[in-house]
Parts: sequence; structure tokens; C-alpha cells
Amino acid sequence: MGRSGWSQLASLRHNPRVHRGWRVAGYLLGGGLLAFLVLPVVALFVTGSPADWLAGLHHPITLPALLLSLTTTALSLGVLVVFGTPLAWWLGRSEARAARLVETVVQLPIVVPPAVAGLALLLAFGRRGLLGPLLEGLSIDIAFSTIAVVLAQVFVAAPFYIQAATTAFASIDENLLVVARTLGARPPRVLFRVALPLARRGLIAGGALAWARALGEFGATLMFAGNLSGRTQTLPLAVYTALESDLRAAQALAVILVVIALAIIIFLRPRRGRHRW
Amino acid sequence: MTALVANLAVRLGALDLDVALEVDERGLILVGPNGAGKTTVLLAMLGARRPSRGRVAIASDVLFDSADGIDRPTEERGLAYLPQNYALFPHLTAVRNVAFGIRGPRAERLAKARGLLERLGVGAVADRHPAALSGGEQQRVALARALAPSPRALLLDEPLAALDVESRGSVRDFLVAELRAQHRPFVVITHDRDDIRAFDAPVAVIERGRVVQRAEPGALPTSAATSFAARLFGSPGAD
Repeated sequence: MGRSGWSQLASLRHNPRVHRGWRVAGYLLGGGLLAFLVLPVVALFVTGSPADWLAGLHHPITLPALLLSLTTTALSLGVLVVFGTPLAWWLGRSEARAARLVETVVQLPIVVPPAVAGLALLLAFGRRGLLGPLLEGLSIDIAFSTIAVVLAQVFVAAPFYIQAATTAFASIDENLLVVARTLGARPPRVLFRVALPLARRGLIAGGALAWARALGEFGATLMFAGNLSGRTQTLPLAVYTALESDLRAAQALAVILVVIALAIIIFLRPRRGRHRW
Repeated sequence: MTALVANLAVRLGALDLDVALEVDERGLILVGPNGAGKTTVLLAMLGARRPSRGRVAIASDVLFDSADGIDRPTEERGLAYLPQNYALFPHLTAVRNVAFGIRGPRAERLAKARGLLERLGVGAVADRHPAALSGGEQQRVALARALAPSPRALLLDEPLAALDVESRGSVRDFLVAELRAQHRPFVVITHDRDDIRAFDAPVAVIERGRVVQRAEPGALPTSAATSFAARLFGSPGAD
């Protein structure tokens, strides 16, 4: 663009009429997308009445799915925190090149389609999978069991927790950890009294995100765990199943999921104002 | 007199550090340009950086010796560390920061910590979090925390750099008096010529990982080894 082009552009900004035109176009484009995002959620609520939802809640498919979802996601979150926190500590504090490589590997489940993840889990832990003979020797049958549900959830949710925890640990000033050691604290005390309290916000945020992702898990669960009521049929699978017979039940289940998701988003909203420790 | 002796070789990225330092109760001032390796010297003494070879000992107690395979963990070295930003634990009140390094029953630890803060003139802010303290207050709390476990030596990284000009002088006088009263070896990193004069301790100039010049207190050299040392030791008011 030549000199005259730039000056034309500059004058555009000062021409109130043209300026307003751009602004209106911006509102229309952004507002259109916003409406598209909000409309389906609104539809979920306004197309049914509370009486319908209550009826849906009493549908025989609902309660087992709700209980199964709550127990399996609680287990998944527990597994992630216990196994993921040490990994995130290493990723956050190590300067080794291997750590950067592992950080990339850990992101893999985000970009792998859930159905592919389910198939991959089946090929690893299924009866004919890589570890099949080993697991059979221990008489453990994972595929199409509640354990498979948990494994599928852990697989897809892990990156969310590990990434958040890694960032939280990486942002701790090294001097704090060194000073704690000079004050006589052994590494476990440094971890529990200094590092974990300082990383707490990040860990909770990552845990909440991972929990939300585990709760919504559908594709990998269907492939690896199946859709067995009371054993592997979580809320999202129940929505899918109910849709075939009873739209009201499907909608009630969906409303439960959305309400939980909204609660998580509100809980996660960054708080304004000064930090209180 | 107790002496802290350190012979350290550390390779860290572009830094190739190889220094021999001896610190007694008169203290040691460590000066040098940014990136010279001053902070790394302190971290290696503490055991937070692993030297490729060398030896660190205080009195007859060996803390690190690459030849004998001795490498005592930081928490057993008994060296206090005051980093440049003081590194007060942001989630703990001043008194809990100080109590962190004291052993014993909880009430006793807190009482000792409170007493220490009062002695250092910051008893009034004992229940505040570090973010609510002024720079001078933070420095005193950090010093109280460093002294709380009765360390065998103190390592201070630019203890006055974070302070504004007004409070700097009085905090400096306080720090000098406090370190003198401790009768423990101390190392102070600084950039400031007024600090060097006030601490009145032996000086070692480090540049690019080597000690390029040493000086005794009260007798700053008239011939400087490098241009940095020349600026540092040069005529009063030169910087």
C-alpha cells in the first residue's frame, strides 16, 4: 500500500459515518455468532416445562446415569490428581528438553478425536489389545466395564488438569522453594506448605475443567466402554439413548448436564479484586 | 572465628564459574556486573545449584565436596538465604513466615517469631501478609525469618536493591548493625558503592565467573583490575 493508501485508511478512522458503518458491521457479525452459541442452550430450557423435566427425572434411565456419571467422574478426577500432580510438578519445574517433549505428548488427547481415543484404548486394554494377554492372566477384564468408563474419562480429561497444574507450578518463584529449604524444610514439607498452597488456584481451575470434560465424555466411552445401563451408561450416553424413545427424558438429562456445566463456569470465573491467600 | 570456605566450579548455560572465596565474621561483599555469576555462587553454596566440582565447608563441617562425594541437602547446611526479592511466602502472615523455620510446638514457634519481629522493629505488622508491607518492612521480616533457625552463615543477594532512596539509608544502617551483632559469616551481593563503604567488609569483584580483584575493608584499591572495578572503586561521586 502506498503512502496515499495509508493516509486514506487513517482518514477512515476519523470519518464518523464510515466509522459507524464498521461498528454496526462488527456488532452484526459478533452478535450473530453469540446468538448462535446461546440459542441452542436457550432452546433446551424453553421448549420444555419444569413438569416435563420432572417427568424426565423420573424416567428409569435418569437416576442410574446420573449416579454413574458422578461416581466415575469423581474417580477420574481422583486418578488425575494423584497421578497428574507429580507429572505436572516435573513438567513445570524441569528445564530438561525431555519435559518439553512430554508436555507436547500430554496435549495429544485434546487433538485426537474421542472416537479414535476410544478405539485406541480398546486396542491397548481390550481383550485382544496390546495388554490383553497380561490383563487376562490377572483375570482383569476392562473393556465394557465401569473401569473402562473411568479410563476413557481420564484419557480425554488429563491434558486439562496437567496443563493447568504445570502452569501453576511453573509460575512459583524458585527463591520461595530455595528459602523454604534453607529454613530446614525437607522437600515434602516444601511441597505441602509452600508449593501446593501457591499453586492451589491453578490446580482447582484445572481440576474443574478436567471434571467438566470428563462429565461430557461421550465418544471414547461409547467405543471403549459401551452403553450398558448402570455399568457404562453415563449422562451423555443416556441423553443419546433416551433421544430414541423419550425426548423429554433426553431433555431433562441435558438440562442437568448444562446446569452442572454452568455451575463450573461460574465457579471458574476469574475473581476480581485483591488476592486473598 | 568461624569461616565459610567455598571453592566452586559451576557450568550453567553461558556461565562458566570458578571461584575461591573465604568468608569470616567480618563478612564478604561480592560485587560484579549482571550475569557475572554472583547469585549462582550463593545458590551453589546453598546446594540449590550443583557445582561440577569444588568444596564448601563451614568451620570444620564439610557441606559439599566433589572429591569425597559429599553433597549435604540444603535443609541440613544451616545457611540462611535472603534473595533479592526477599521471597516472603505470600500466603503466610509475617509472623508465620518467621515461624516457618522454627521448630517446636506451634504456640512456642509463633511466640518466638513474634519476639524476633519485635526485636527487629516490625512487631506491629506481624499479622499482615507480605503484600501489605513496605519494602523496608519486608526486608526486616525476611531478615527475621532468616535469623530464626539460628543459621551458621547468612547469604544476602542485593538486600537493599528493592528499596527506594529514602528508606535505603536507614535500612542499610540497620542491616549493617544487625549483621555485625550476629558474629556469623555473611556474604552480601551489591552494586552500590555506599553499601560497600557501610558494610566495611572484605570485597571480591567477580566478572565472567572469575574473581578478578579482592580488597580489604577500609583499603579500597587504588589500581583497578578491570573497567568495572575502576567504576566501582573510582573517585567518589564518579557514578
